[in-house]
Amino acid sequence: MRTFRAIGILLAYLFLLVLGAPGLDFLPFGYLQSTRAQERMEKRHGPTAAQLAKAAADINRFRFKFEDTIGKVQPIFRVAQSWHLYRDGPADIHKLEIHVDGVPVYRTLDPKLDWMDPTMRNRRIRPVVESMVTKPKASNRWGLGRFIVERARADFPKIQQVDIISLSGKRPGDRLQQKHSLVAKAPDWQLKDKR
Amino acid sequence: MNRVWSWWMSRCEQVEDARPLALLRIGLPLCVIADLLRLAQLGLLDTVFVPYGSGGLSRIQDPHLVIIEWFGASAGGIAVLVTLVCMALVSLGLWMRPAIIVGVLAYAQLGHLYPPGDRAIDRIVRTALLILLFSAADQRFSLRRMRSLSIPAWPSDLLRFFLVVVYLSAGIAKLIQQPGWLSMEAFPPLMRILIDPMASDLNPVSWSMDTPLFRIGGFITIAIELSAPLLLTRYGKYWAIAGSLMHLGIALTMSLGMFAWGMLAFYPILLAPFILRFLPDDEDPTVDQPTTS
Repeated sequence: MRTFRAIGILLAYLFLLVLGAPGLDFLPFGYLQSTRAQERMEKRHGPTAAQLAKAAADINRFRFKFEDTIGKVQPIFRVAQSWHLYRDGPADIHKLEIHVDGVPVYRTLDPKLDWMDPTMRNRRIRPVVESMVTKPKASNRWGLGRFIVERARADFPKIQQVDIISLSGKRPGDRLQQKHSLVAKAPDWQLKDKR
Repeated sequence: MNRVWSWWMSRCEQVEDARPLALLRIGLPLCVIADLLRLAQLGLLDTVFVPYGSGGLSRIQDPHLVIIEWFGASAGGIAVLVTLVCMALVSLGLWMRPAIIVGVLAYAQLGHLYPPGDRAIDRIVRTALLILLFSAADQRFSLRRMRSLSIPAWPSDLLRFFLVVVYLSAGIAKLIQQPGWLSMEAFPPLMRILIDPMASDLNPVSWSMDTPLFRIGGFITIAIELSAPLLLTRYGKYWAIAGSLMHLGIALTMSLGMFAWGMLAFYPILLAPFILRFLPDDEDPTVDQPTTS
């Protein structure tokens, strides 16, 4: 029993190490697989660095075999061991602005325009807001837009129009410009892209 | 080889004070409960955990989502309820093992249902709960009657190793993808993160002059993350002080929900040498049976 437990614990360590693989998990499967790529690497960085990089790539290819077998258990519990936490922030400043009948009621991080602020900054909603302000064709913009319009119609009765505007600009962000937006108008409240 | 295996066997049989791991068992589920209750308070459960066709936000669901087939559009609400009950049971130390299995599966389904809102901290919490599944974390500060003052130490060791992998991966990922973390000239990446109005509470205009402060902060962040292997040594408790301060800083300056608190929930096991003397010791001495198997 003691031996089985020791083996089990060792396997648990290996599971975390092989699937987490700090640093290695960046390398694609085919990295430095061809002779041409290895020669190019050696030319650019010298033989020692090329050998080290090739060894890392080979280890990673071996790791992929585990990823494709024992790694398959990860989605059941949704525990993908990939930990690229907060690598960098955005190059520009982005904000979301919401207008109701032409009057601004919300702007990201603006204490005077704070309608729906706790909702928009909630960690579950924020990623959708973030992708909406950075990508004009973000796939979830329709869902977020529909949600904002429904809330606006509930909180501001008799309104005729809701504009959801993505603002963007260089740091520090004191001059932001409209990049893209969604608009919905009464009576059908159909959301449309607006450039 | 035989000596190495003997060392490993003896390491797997070490015991430790049950209280730090019990605090983790209480803290992690409480973060999940607080997170879901906050969503309910904001009236977002019917928006977040329903498919797009039924009025939800996300058009994308993961292929491993099964609860919609089983329960239809109300599946999200059921999964939230199951997760809440199971997390409460884990926190209370009641039926811990079945509660972890069912709770983690339901929590994972919430992630499959709404992938954009299922972040790294959710995966960290679920992984840690699955490790707790094999632990005796319910021996202290729980409503169970059977209690031990000492429990096997390997789950805490494995959790420490898990945190090393997480922090080290985060540090290496930063350096590989953004060399500016170590640059004296580039715009400090930490500043890019901390003045991003989408995630941070700092006003980018008023903080834009404090570049050196963020540059030094960036160096410290990288130093902390890359030195995480210290957690596996006797200096781990000192590393944990720096790590906890980093997460407190994140909690004070950013709106990342339960991220900072979820990570801080691990720190009782990392700071155990400092905190043990302050922890209540109110257990029944008649059940003081150290667990060795």
